[in-house]
Formats: sequence, C-alpha cells, structure tokens
Amino acid sequence: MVSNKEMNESIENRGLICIQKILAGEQEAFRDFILLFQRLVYSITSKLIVCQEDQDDICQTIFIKAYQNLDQFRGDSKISTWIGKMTYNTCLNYLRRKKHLCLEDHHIDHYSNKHQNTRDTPDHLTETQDMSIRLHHEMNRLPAQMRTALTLYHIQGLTYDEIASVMSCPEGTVKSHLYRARQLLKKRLLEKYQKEELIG
Amino acid sequence: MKHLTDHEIQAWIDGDPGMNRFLIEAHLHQCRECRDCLKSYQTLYTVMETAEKPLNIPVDFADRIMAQLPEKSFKRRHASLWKIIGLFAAATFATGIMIMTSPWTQYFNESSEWAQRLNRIFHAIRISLHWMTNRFYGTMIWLICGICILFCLMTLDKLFSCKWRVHFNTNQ
Repeated sequence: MVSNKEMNESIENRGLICIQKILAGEQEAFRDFILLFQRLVYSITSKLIVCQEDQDDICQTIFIKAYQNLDQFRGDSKISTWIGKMTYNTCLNYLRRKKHLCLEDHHIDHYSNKHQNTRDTPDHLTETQDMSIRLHHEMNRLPAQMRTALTLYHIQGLTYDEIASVMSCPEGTVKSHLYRARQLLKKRLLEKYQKEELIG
Repeated sequence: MKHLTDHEIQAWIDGDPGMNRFLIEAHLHQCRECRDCLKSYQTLYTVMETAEKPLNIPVDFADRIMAQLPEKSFKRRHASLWKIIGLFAAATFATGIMIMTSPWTQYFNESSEWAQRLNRIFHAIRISLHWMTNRFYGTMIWLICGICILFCLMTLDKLFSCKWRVHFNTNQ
C-alpha cells in the first residue's frame, strides 16, 4: 500500500514535470496540474469557506492565478507549499472582503449540523465510520486556523515548517494549533465515546 | 508520579525532534494511564488520516479552468538569460578593475604590438585611477568589487540551481 508520504512525493514530481511542459508552451499540461493539486486546494478552501459556490469560484481563481504566476515558481519550496499558501491567502482575502471572518465558524457549525442530521443514521454506519463522521463534525467546530493546520498535517501530509510557510506564521504557532486542536478533539470524542472505544 | 502532558504525547507521535524521546518512552513503559492516553491519540490520528470528508469537486472543474486560461507566453527565461549576461558582464568588469588597480599587475608580456597597445591603455586607466591605489581608496574599491563579485556569483548560483533542480527532479 502506498503511504501518504510516497503519494505526496509522486504528486510533487509529476507537478514539476507539468510545470516544465507548461513553461515550454504546452498549455494542455496545466489540466494535469489541476488534477494533481485540486484536492489540496479544495481541502484548504473547504475548511475556510462554507458556501460551495464560493469555494468553486475561489478554487478557479487560485488555479488561474497559479497559471499566471507559474514562471515565478523557482523550486525553492514544494509546489504544494506554494499553491497551499496561495490558497490560504486568497481565502483569507475573500473572508476579509466579505467580512465573514467572525461569522464563519457559526455558519460552519450550522451547516455541519444539518449535514450530520441527514447522514447520521446509525443503522447504516459501522462504528469507525460513525467515529469519523463525529470527528469531522467536531473538527468543523474548531477555529478555522486549527482546522486548516489539522488538514494540512494529517490529510495533506505537510510538515510543521511547510504548514508554517502556507499559513505565514511561526512553526511554534502551528504546533500550538495542532496540539490544542487534537487535545480538544480527544476531549470531545471522550464525551461521546467510552474510553475503551478510543483505546481500542 | 508526574504524568506526561498531552503535548508531550503528541510530540512523541509526531516525532518532534524538540523533545526527549528516551525520557518519554521510559515513562510510557511504566505508566498505564499515559499509555492509554497515547492509544487514544493514536486512534484519533488514524481516524483523521484515513477518513477524509469527501470533497465536492465538480467533475468538469479542470475543463472550466482550461476554458478560462488567459493567453500567456512564458518569456521569463529570456529575461533570465539577459540577467545572467548582465551579471556576468558586471562580474567581469569588477574583476578587471581589481586587476588594473592591483600594484602587482604585470599586464601583458610586451612581445607583440597588440600587447603593447593594451598595456598602454591599461597604464592610462591606471594613471587616471591612481587615486584609487592609495591605501584607503584602494582598499575600499577592492572591498566593493569583492562584494559585487560575490553577489553576482550568488545570484547566478540561485538562478541556475532552481532551473537545475526542476530539471533534475523531473528526470528522476
């Protein structure tokens, strides 16, 4: 089975090939580039923006911006860090412009509750699936920066310093976000599950 | 017995180099409560890593973007080439000044006519720049030229290494 790390390395290498082709004038290679990094862009955007239509618009803007600035990518950092930072900053600018920053957590909680009620039918769920849905629900209740740090670390497999670069903050702040987020998640899961269920 | 903090347990799972693994492992070995806490964090990590919430990416997402891509030709490589030529010229000029202002420069062996001419030109420049060759100005001009050359080399290295790295990685 391919590990997250190996998969990310493969995506990075294929991304570099795409960039070289695009810079050589092969515009169609950008389609592969989009397919490689759309999950990363969407997973960051979905942690910060609630409305699906806005997410789509922002993700499109990010990829067009990435295309326009592709010749400025120097290879000093990973492509995922470069495009992740662009995504994070674009989302923050959008939220500042829309003045959604303070409301956003409430909205996400509301949406996720709705989402949960329609899907959470225990008859059809195994215990792990149930725990995973609960975890996502609890994750959505966390502040946006903690959610983003968790996603980048656990799902996208970025390191502390790469996350710090994406979120433009010190590495210590990233660690603090991650530690506090996991501590909160564990506490909240323990309120819903028996300790033995979590220990396995 | 003092238990491990949540931060220490998470740092141990993350493999954070900033903590003492030996001390943490020694404590985990003898403390059941901390082992339980570790196991619950490990479950949390597993659930987070294996169960990503499905993302609603439109099927035609890439097509939509491809249809909107602006016409753009990437000409920056030529600009970089000019930058490299400019830096190379600056480095050569700085080296030339260093040689000409050096009191040890012997110029060329005057075995041919063109060498004699060059020597005369160099000599004229050297005389016009004689004020630079005294101790203070001479040292200053050498320092500035040295910094110039160093800066040029660093920039050249950065320009080349990025392109090389992209090239190298793509060929793997």
